[in-house]
Amino acid sequence: MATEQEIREVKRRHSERLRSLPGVSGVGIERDAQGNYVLAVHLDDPTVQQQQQLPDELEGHPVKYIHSGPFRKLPADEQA
Amino acid sequence: MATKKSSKRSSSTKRGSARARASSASAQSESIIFVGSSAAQIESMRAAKRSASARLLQTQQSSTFSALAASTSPRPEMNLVGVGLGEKISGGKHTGVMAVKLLVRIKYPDNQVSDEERLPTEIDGHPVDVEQVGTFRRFMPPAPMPNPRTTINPARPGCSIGFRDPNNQFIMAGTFGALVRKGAKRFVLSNNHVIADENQLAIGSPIFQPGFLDAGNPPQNRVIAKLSKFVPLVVGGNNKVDCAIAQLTSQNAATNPVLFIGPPTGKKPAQIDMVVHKFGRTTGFTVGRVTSVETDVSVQYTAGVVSFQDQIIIQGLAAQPFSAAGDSGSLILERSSNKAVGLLFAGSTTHTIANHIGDVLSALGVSLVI
Repeated sequence: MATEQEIREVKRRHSERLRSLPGVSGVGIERDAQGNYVLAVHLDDPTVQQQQQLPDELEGHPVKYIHSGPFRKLPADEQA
Repeated sequence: MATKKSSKRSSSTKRGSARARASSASAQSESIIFVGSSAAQIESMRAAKRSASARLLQTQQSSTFSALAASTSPRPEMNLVGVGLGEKISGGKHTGVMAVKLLVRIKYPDNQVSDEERLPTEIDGHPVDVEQVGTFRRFMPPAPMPNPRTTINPARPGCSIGFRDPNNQFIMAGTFGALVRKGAKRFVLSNNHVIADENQLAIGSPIFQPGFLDAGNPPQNRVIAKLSKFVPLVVGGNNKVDCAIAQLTSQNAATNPVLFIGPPTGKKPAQIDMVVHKFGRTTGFTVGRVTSVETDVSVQYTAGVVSFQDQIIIQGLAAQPFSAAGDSGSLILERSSNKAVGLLFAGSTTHTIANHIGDVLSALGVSLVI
C-alpha cells in the first residue's frame, strides 16, 4: 500500500501535466474508504477521462477521478 | 398547559410500551401498555387518572406560579407537572404493576413534605407512582440566523463586503473573513478578488459594508476599511493564496466574532476528515468535511486561469453545498474547536476550495484577533 509520501511524489510529478489538459481542474491527495492515500484528480465532467485518455493508474497507484465541475472564484457580482 | 400535558403523557406511556413489548409478544390489545388487563380494569385506571388530573394538576396560570419559575416547593400546585398511566417503578426496578403516574419537578424526601402537601399514595384504589421529571419547557427555538447582506455595525466576519468598481461596470459582494492585526492596527481579512479586484485596486481604496450588490439603489452602505495590502495573483504562476487586508477606518468599525459562530479561538492546520464550518454572505452557516489538504487547482478568474498549490478541499455535509458565489473570503473553522483552518476563495457546485490559514497570515504578516 502506498505511503502518503509516495503519493505526494506521484502528485508532484504529474500535477502540472495533468492540469494542462482541458477539463482537468485539480490534482490532489485524498484518503479512500479504507484510509489509504490515493491520487485524486478533479474533472469538469465525466466525459473528460475518456476524451483525455486518462489512465486508471499512475506509476502503479490507483487514481480516483472526481467530477467536480470547473473551479471558479466565488464572489457574487452582476452588471451595474 | 395543553401542550405540556400531552408531552408528559407521551413520555410516560413510552416507557410503559417499551416494557410491554419486551415482556409480552401478544401486543394485540387495544393499547400496548395494558397488556393483560381487562377492559373494565383499563377504564378504571383511566378514570383514576382523570380524577387525579382534575384534582391535583394546576391548569390555570396562577399569579404566583409560572411553568418556568426557578423556585420550587413540594406543594402540588407548584411541584406536580403531569399525570399519566404507566408501570410503577420502585427503587429503579420495574414492578409490572400499572399505576397512576404523578410527574413532579422534584421528588422531595418524605420528611420535607407536610401532610397537606403530600401526594396521595393511591387514587380510587389504584397505586400511585411519583416520578421526578424536572421542569417541562418548550424546546428552545433555534437562534435566529443573521442576515449577512444587511448593514451590520460594527461589521463582523461573515457579513457582506466589497469594493466599488472604478469603471462602474459591475457591482459585487464577498465575505469579510476575519479581523486581523499587526501591532495596534486592525484589518479586515478577505480575498484579493473581494477587496483588491484581482490586483487592480489602488492601495487606500475604500471597502464597503455591505458590498454594493447588497446595498440597494441608491446604495445604503458605508466605508469600513481601506485596502492596505494584497498578495498579487499571478496568472501562469504558482500561487498559494488569494488574500488581502484593509485597515479599519476606526478601531470600532468591526469586531472579531464570526456571525452565528463566534470568535475564532486560534488557528490549526486542516486535516483530512476534519469537520469544519463557516458563515458566508451567500449560504450563511454551513458545515462540511475536509477531503484533501494538498490539492493543486486551476481556478477561473477574470484575468485568466490561476493555479494554486496545496489547497484545502471541502465538501458540504448531508449533500448540501458548503459554499456558493458570494462566500469568497469566509473564514473556515474546525467545528469542534472554532480554530481557524482556511480562507474560502473558490469552488464548483460540489466542492469548495480554501487557502491554508497559516499561509494567508504569514503572507500578509498579520495574526488573527482572537
